[in-house]
Amino acid sequence: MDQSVTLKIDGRDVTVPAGTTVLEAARMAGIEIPSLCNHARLLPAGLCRLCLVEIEKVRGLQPACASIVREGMVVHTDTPAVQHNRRMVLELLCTNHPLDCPVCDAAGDCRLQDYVFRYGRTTSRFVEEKRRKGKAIRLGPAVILDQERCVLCQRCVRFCEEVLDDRQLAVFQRGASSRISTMPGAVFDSRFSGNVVDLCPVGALTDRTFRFKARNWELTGLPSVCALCPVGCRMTEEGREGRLLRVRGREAPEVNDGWLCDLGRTGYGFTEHPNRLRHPLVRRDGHLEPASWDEALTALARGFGAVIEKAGPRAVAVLGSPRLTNETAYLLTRLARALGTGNVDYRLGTAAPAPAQATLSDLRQAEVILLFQGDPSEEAPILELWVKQAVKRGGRLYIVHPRTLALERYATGAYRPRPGSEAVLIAGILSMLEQGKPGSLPLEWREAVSGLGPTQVASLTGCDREAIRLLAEALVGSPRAIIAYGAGLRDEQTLALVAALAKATGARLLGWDGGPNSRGVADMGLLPDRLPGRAPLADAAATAALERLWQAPLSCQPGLSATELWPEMRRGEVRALYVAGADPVTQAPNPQLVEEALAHATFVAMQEAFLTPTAERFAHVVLPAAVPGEEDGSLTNLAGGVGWQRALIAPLGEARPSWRIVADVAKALAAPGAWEYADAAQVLAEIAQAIPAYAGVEVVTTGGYFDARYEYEYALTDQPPAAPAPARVAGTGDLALTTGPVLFDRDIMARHAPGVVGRAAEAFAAIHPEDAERLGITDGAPIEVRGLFGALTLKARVSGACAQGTVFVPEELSELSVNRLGAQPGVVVMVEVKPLAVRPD
Amino acid sequence: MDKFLLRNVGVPDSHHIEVYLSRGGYESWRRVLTSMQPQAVVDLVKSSGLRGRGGAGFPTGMKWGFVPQGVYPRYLVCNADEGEPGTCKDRVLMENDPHLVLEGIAISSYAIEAHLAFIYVRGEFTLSAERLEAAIAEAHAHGFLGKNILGSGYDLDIVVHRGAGAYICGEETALLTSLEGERGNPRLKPPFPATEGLYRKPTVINNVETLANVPLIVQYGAEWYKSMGTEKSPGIKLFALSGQVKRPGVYELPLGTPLRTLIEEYGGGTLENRPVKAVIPGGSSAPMLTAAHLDTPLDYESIAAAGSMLGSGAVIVIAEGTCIVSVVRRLIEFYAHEDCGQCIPGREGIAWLARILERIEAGQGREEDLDLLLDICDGLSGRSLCPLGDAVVGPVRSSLKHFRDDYLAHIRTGQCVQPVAVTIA
Ligand SMILES: Cc1cc2nc3c(=O)[nH]c(=O)nc-3n(C[C@H](O)[C@H](O)[C@H](O)COP(=O)(O)O)c2cc1C
Ligand code: SF4
Ligand code: SF4
Ligand code: FES
Repeated sequence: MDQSVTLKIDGRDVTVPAGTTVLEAARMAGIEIPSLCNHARLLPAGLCRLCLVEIEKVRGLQPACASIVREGMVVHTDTPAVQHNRRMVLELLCTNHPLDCPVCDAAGDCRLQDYVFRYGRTTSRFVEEKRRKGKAIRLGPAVILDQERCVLCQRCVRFCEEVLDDRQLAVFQRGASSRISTMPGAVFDSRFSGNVVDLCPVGALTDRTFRFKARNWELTGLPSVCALCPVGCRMTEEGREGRLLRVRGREAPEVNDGWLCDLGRTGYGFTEHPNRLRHPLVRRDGHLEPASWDEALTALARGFGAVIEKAGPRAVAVLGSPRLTNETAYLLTRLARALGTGNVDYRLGTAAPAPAQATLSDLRQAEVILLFQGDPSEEAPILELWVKQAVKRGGRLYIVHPRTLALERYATGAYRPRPGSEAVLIAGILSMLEQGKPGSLPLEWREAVSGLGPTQVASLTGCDREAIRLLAEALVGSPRAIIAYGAGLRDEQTLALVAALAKATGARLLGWDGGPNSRGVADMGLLPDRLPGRAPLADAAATAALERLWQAPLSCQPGLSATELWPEMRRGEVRALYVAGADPVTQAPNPQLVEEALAHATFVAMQEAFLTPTAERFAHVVLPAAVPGEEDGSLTNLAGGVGWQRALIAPLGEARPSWRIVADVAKALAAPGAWEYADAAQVLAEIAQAIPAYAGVEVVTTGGYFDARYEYEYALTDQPPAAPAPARVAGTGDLALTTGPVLFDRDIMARHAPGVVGRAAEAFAAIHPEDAERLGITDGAPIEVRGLFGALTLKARVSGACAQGTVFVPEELSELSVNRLGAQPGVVVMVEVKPLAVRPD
Repeated sequence: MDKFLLRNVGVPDSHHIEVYLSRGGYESWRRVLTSMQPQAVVDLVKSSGLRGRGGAGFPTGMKWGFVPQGVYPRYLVCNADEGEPGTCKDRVLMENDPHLVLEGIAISSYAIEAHLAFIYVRGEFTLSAERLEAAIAEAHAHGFLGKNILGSGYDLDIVVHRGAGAYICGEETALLTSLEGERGNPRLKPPFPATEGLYRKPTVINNVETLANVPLIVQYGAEWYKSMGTEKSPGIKLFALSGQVKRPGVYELPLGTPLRTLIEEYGGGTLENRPVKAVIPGGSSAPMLTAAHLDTPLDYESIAAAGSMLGSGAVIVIAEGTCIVSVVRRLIEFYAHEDCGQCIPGREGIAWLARILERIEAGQGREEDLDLLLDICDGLSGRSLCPLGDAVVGPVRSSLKHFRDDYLAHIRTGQCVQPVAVTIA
């Protein structure tokens, strides 16, 4: 236990943990000491001198922010000298400050304003002309600087240094001419750049998309969570008059600790996108036309009713998406099972994530991290900060990934197994463990790995044998090891091996895929072979409990997965499809098959916020859905933390909250059971009853915050890991395709937000310099990448970060669908790459 | 009197090791290596009463004793940034007797058990840096530096680091930051360099002249050292005499020598024999004294009692006829220019002082400006992040105390009324 220290502040005895600063101790005692440069999440700097206090037996005034409490210390925060200092510092700051509060974004939420009001002089003795510095300097895509308003607290600079370990901002010149800037010619383009706006105590740094939009006191705010990636950052939504204008980070040490990435910060601009669907659409004479909700739901009931009548409920399929809230996913599951179909899924080329065994705080303190097939920077950005923090604290990082990641400079070891041999690498480590200590693996696993000697693993994966041994040693040797797998791991077989490795080494698992709420959606049972809570269908007790809760018999037949669905639909076995939040034409691994299947379907209904290619071409009914910011709902993040996303504004036009749409559809279809819910919180309350692991989760509104973390334990797979073989190869080209999300292009909605547009690189394909040379490809030149179902025209990015023999194409490209190339789990797709002649314009 | 610190200055080729050796050089180093334990050296310096010559006058042996037991590596840093206006004594040593400086560094490094020492040389001192580097090469060649020095098993390397032109880098923590390759910003204290200095390791920082005294103390003993100077300020000191005197220069004198002796006997009196108006006795940040203080002995205590400080021992003489407003304005402009800009009092306070002084000098002053100047000084001294704030207030407060009439004349007449209007550019 930490020791505590008792000191006296202004005559009051205060007991605080050892190591606390005087500033913090005073705050805990309810005594305000004004402070500008200090920030709880940055190291003390002692720069502004506003917090100076008197400490008995210490000469001169001392900075409270940088003084650590001592037993028996006596502090005075209100002596004439302390007051004089505050007045003076504030007066000094105002001498050259423009005092343009009427047009400053920070007005109303500005330390300088508040402190001058509270501690400052009412008149100024400064009669000289104010110094001029740079105004409205665009530091980068997200942040604008007014050097005259800057108080040089260096919070922004310290953030870059301490949190990012990337000194994109610094102080230039000296003395009174000091100013914040980027290196000459450089751009402040960190993925986390917007955080400095939150940190800036005045209005020197402004948010490019928010500035001049509103006065602080006009904004209303709600604590919420970000719905754009699996981290689910805790944030605050703020807006006015029905518009969501800004989001800011919220303190939450166990998740994002107040930071946000720029996708989260600027992505919510999609709420106002002109292409949003405002009313239901119904297809008439081949065209989607605006309709009322009644008309749309009637058409939908007729469409589904006819199919069920003719071919039974199993001719109906439900396809969800990892972007859904838990409430929407839960109701979809319930709807499908109540209708009598097991054809429910949300996975388009991914595997359902394994249980989260580690928290993000664990990650920040990990001793050993194996980052397997995941790129936090693009897939779960905040994790990049936490991995860096772990390494800074002495942790060791090992990376297994087909590309060189930005984090590689922090890595102790980096492994680039041949595409398709990743599972072999993991099995090889397992086999090494068994050889090193016979009997350390369960008997049935041994078989899976028995054939894999170190030499064979090395030759199959192309990784150095000794290096693999070091990795195995590191995992076994540390009680605080974490295996973090990411979006590159797509197949169940590899996942099962990774889980086995975690179990065998005692490392804890943490994983994510490309979807923001995959874990929650899987928990809600949006799977053909699972119940809510991921119980197997055969679990009679679970089934009975659900039937009681739902007041309906439920179909426990295993249904078709989203992979099995399409051939059955093409054959006419499945005839009606309900899609929520997914766009299979651009997202499913085999678009050709999907298009043929959808063309065969009798009836397709979708709920969406935008008109997706699937909806445009195949839907008979499209129901306009609300987007994050417009609807309440819970999201389960990659570490199993549940966050409550809040509706700050009303859904656009006639759009409805997604969970409500599902309930409305259920009622229209006369699905068995009760479908009346007052709000999303009521759905969550039912989830807490339906899923034992979510039992404690409820909407807690104390202080306006909602945060819960639940632990759950379920068998990842009932099967022992299977013996891996290098993956199947498809395609005739000579470069192996790798793909994955890129941050600013990863969300089909957020990429339309004004603050995000332009931040994603133009659709590109990365290729190794030697391959490029062989193929006659130069950096930046147009190239064609031809895969299983077609070709994409992309811009070549020649980069050593891409392994030789591979080509990387981002998973979601604004206007192109990489699924034309046929990337799919467990298969190595060989693509053809060739330069395109540049047409003279 | 005999010269010790300057004994080799003026000897032809005094910067070469052969000359240094021929005059008994490196004998102290040899003695230390062959017959003294590190602690014995610390004790010797402690008992000599040697105090830091860089400005603060802190007892050197005591400073060495602050290095925490058992924490290694440790570093010794020689502060050769000499940038304080008026101060030019370290340069004389480095250019003329670089081996004395090296010998001092070597013995001191041994005393604190450091194996790597740095000399942070003011950027403009090209010749000093060249001479030191050449001397280091010679010392290596003669086995006085490097591995297993003189067969003792002790290793030492000395690295010369050149500053880039910032006065603030003379402040010890700014110096360390700069030495680490960062922008030379002063750091918060605590932690103090002795516990967490260069690269967060225990570090002793001493001035060039301080270190140059060490071989002499080893050679002649602590008693000899204490036989000179005063009880609390023992020993010898280099005084850099400048300003309106006939023979400006660096003079070696025992501490306690009266100010008048330095100015009149060594400096030959003031230019045109004008009466002394003001004396800055310890570098530009020391408060001004007046003609009434000319009999004050030049030692730490006496100068402090007179209301100033001995500082680096740079004595600047200002004769009657000179406008004090102009002098102070120029000094404060210097500080405003050299301030690092980190803390608000330093950055905004000094700049404001400079602008008010400019206004007063230009005849645009108001009487209330004088109170404002003092109030800003109160906001600076003891409150800025580094001691620069205290340095700045010295000239302002003291000039307002002793020469308020010069200010009032500017304010009331709108112009300078000094008979010899010396405007200091
Ligand atoms: C603004 C400022 C500038 C300084 N410049 C120098 C300098 O140029 N040389 C120096 O030796 N000490 C300088 N000092 C003093 C050093 O901080 C430090 O006290 C000294 O180097 C310690 O050495 P000593 O104990 O041998 O005197 C300066 C201090 C301040 C506050
Ligand atoms: S821009 Fe803001 S955060 Fe950065 S130094 Fe200036 S006032 Fe501080
Ligand atoms: S007083 Fe403040 S601004 Fe000036 S040099 Fe010291 S730390 Fe820097
Ligand atoms: S808050 Fe303590 S110095 Fe700025």
